[in-house]
Amino acid sequence: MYDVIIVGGGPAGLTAAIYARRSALSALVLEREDWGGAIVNAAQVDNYPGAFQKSGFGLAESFRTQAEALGAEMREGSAVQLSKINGGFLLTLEDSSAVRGKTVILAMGTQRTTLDVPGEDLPGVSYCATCDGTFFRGRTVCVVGGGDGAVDAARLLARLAAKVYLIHRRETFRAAQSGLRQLEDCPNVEIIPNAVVREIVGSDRVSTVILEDVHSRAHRELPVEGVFVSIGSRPNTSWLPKAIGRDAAGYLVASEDGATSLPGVFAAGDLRTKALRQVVTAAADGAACIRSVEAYLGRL
Amino acid sequence: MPEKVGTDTFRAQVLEAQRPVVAEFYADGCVPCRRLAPILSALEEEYAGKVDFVKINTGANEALTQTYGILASPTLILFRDGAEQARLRGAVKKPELIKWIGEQAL
Repeated sequence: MYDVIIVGGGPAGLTAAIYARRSALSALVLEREDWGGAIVNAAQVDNYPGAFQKSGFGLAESFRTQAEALGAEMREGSAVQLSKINGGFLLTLEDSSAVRGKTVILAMGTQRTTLDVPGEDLPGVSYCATCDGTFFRGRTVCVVGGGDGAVDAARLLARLAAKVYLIHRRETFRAAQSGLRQLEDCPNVEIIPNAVVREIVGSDRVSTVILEDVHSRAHRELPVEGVFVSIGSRPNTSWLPKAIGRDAAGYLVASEDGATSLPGVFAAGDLRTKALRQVVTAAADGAACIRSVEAYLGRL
Repeated sequence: MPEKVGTDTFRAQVLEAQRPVVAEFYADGCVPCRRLAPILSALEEEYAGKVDFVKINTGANEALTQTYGILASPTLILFRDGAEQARLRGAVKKPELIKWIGEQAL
């Protein structure tokens, strides 16, 4: 039985693994899909101390290398069930195997929200402007969203595409003012506020999006060849037992010490109720959780 | 590691190849492409002599990218006897890729 099983291999989980090993706790990190978490998609990280202008991918790699070098075990697998057993917890994985831990740190982060409209699977719909922007050189595209990710995507695409529409369901943007100001300097960007995408249309690839005005409910067609979606993310916590409290949006209710409503289970990183979701706060959560784990195990 | 192919070498190395060819269309800065790279390198060794593997930088080879209607990175196209036989769009896991190659190329 491990001292701690950490579910999620992003900055929070990998920092927890580093601190666990520094405290001589046996630690297993489970990652469902992509080691490194959401930060791997950041082309450049400018706000994590000591990693100025490092790629998100590179930063995540260094987290993992450090955790492994300190002796944390890494395993790919998707946890589907968490149960209380004598002396700890049992985590059942998708392949029906199971692992046991005296404590569990939940650090699965969030996963991107999809538009959930007809046509979303058509070629030409993308969630990564860095990956796919080049295919729309000289064409007309739209970006859907109002946060920093959407504004960054629109700015990148403005350098490649002939025309970029930024579609946002509200009048005002969550994105940082600095990014928005740079966007206003792009002559080929047009912002369409108070509109949502109801359908993406095309025979073998995207040709049109159907927009709905959030006030008048009127529909209109917007011819585009590419749709870049950046409408935020939500926590993947629905598989957890009800004994672990969460808010209306599914975030695990926990304070700075990471303690959830189920003793022995802790929450770290973006899936925890908190004001600021950043790499630096995720890493801090991972460290704080290990102190809580040590206290729970009676080691402090 | 799969060899980089461009417009000038595509015909000889892909369309006129004696074996099936898995061609990865990738983009610089594409994280799913980076994750796929070690998987393709391993498969290139496993399938040596049976299937060839090449990669095409979409940013540097716009004509090829347009010819094959690439709209996502990575896109994998299996070529056999000079023609496209199958394609996979987006990130893909190794077991899925092995199954695909087994069905399409062997």
